[in-house]
Amino acid sequence: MLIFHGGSDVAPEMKNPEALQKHMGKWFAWVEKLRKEGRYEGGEPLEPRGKFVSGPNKIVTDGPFAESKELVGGYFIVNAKDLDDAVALTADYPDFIFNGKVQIRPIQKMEM
Amino acid sequence: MSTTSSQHVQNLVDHLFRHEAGKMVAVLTRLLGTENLDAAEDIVQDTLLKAMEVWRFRGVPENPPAWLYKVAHNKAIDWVRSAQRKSKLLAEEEKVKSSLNLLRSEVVYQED
Repeated sequence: MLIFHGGSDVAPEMKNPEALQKHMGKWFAWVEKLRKEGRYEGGEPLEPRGKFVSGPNKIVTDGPFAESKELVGGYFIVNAKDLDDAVALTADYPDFIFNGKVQIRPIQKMEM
Repeated sequence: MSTTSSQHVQNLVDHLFRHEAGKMVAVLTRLLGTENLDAAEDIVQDTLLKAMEVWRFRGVPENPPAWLYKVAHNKAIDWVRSAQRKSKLLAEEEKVKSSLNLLRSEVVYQED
């Protein structure tokens, strides 16, 4: 699983519609490439709002907030042999230029 | 990534956002009335933003114009509903105002 933190979601440059469209084109091309290679399994965008519930008292707090630099904007599920292979798949991640970060996590497989 | 595939996606996006957007505004204006051109333009703008958010993680759908029209159509329906609610509220307000005026004139009349 590739979890995308920050990047173009919080980049002020993306307020410009032309720049936004151009940059999103890079994302579309990246998904398309992963799909063609049989690597892309699925993905979803996350809305920039939410709640935290924590502790034994189930305290509800606001956040994460849209301005947060670490906000998770969405995720991909990809096919990869191992972590190194998954790292290689992020080569075309378009948000590195906006200091975006990709968290790479293997999904635990249930062996039956 | 092959530049051709990336270029292809960029061209598709350009085409959709330039040409299809114009057509969508025309269709929506017919639906909402020419006096609501602004609303039609806003709805199309919203739809394109939504497309960028969602396609970024899910990829460009099989039939992008159909997707855009469906979303724009739903947004237009929402707009009509809220416009109806607003005009109903305005009508209510007018009713209340005129009964208040009536009441006031009656009060003044009685005071005379």
